[in-house]
Amino acid sequence: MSRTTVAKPFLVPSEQSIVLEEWLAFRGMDVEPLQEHLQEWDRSLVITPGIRLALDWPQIQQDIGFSSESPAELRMWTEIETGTTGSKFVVATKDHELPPGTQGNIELRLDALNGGQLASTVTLKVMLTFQRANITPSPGSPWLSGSILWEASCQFDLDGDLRGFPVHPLAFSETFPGRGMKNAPWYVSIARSEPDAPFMSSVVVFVNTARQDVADALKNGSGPLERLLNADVVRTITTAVVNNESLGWEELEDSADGTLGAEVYRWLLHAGNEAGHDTVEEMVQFVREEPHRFGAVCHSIWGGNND
Amino acid sequence: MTEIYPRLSPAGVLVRAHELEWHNLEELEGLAVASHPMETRGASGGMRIGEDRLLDLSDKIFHVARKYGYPAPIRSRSDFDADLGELLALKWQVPLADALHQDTWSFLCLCLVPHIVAWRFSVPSKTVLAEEKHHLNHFAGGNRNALQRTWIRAYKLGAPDADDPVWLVRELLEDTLVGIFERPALSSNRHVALQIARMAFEAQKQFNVDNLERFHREALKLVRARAAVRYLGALPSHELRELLQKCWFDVALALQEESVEPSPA
Repeated sequence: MSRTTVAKPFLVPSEQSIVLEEWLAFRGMDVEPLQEHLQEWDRSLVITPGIRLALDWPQIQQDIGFSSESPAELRMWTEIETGTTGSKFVVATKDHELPPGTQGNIELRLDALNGGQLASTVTLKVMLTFQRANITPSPGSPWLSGSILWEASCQFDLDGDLRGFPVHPLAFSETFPGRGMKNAPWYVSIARSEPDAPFMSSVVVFVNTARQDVADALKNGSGPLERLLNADVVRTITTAVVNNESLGWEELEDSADGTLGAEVYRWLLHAGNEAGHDTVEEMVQFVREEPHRFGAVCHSIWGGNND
Repeated sequence: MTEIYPRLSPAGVLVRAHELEWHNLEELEGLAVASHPMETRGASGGMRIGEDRLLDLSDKIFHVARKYGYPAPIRSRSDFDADLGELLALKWQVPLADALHQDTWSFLCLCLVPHIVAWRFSVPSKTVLAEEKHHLNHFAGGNRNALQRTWIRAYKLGAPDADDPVWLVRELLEDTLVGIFERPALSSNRHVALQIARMAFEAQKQFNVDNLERFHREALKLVRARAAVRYLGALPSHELRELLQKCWFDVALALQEESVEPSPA
């Protein structure tokens, strides 16, 4: 649910000195772990997200080239971002004061979520930044205000039950006339193929109502057909995303949870193990150069009888 | 109470796109609707917007389009976009929770005003919309959506009290606006987006460069690189301004040096 990022051109805290323990949801007096899907979401529901961290302040100072005697001034920021591609929007940022010497577990509360300002996906971010120092920094120490020393984020959905995997029954002969699809059992349609596109709203599987046999089998969760569909979904989406030639495999690795890129990255890792390619970079090349063999790999992994 | 707008999911987009293909502007105008069997609504906590209100919005959008020549070829795309953004974000004020949801924009473009979208982007009447992504992108929600892109620009860069509330949107090149708004790291924070846009405007006045598009493009790449290691939202205004100034200044200097370098023999 959370991820930390990238190499910085300055010293950063070691993994042990700052640890994200848990994202939280405060509802009135109650507090509980934040779920990836908030069921029964309603715009009038008030939830205050929070985060629990374990901090070792002296160690952080030492890690970034300062000391407890001459500490750098650091800030902890939280941010609530919402919206999807084309409408990303930061609805709140908060600067949390951390007294020097803070050690052990701390809980930070973000601003309350205002349903009237939120789209269906919310990203929470937390960042530790360098502010200033009263001494000349050592070589490698951060020196510019706002330098991000540590960050983590999590994403969750507000639509709860409304966001099941999108499978829609349709009469193909009426909806797609003249396309040679009237007897097709299903059609995996990709509305958008950018890695940062939200997975759940970019992919739709249409099931042909003229193929009652298929519709019934899928409804009943019949194994082989369902697995074939899964394999087709993986193959179609991965090929669509990877065939964008300007896409670098690093973009997939950096994709936030819940996006097409993150799903494709996970699939490629898995397929790479089976297909004998050690890295996602190699797998991207493989999909581009041998799409048909990649199709067979998908059917072997996701369409086979793995029970 | 907040009005809840209808939405069109990706499945609905595809179905509706099939309904609209092979039609000319006049026919598309006849196919415009304020409701659709595949529409959905967001979570509750508000009142469903009525069809009469949606038709009123459609009239207002139509009025802006007429100002720029509809159904004749569009006279000024940038001014049309700026005025449309002002209508949606500052005058009509589409509620934020729906405006941030791209399915809302899919509905408005594909159901309410498909003819205006087709006219704005000169979509040929023989277009197989569901299969031609570069055209469909202007109808489906996302960065390229005909209404959504104008709304977000006006919402974040608009100055409601100014004589021309969307002057900044009007002044910047399309390429520059795309460069800012297609990078969430630069545009998701409204304050940061506004500062960047203002700096781009100041820089194009201050520096005499031949290729403005490249000038801004390179400067925005520098800002993006800075944003990967510094949290721009944490910087006080004067520090953010200094950082941005330096990005545009460095690019101006590099372009100047490039232009005086002797060409290879």
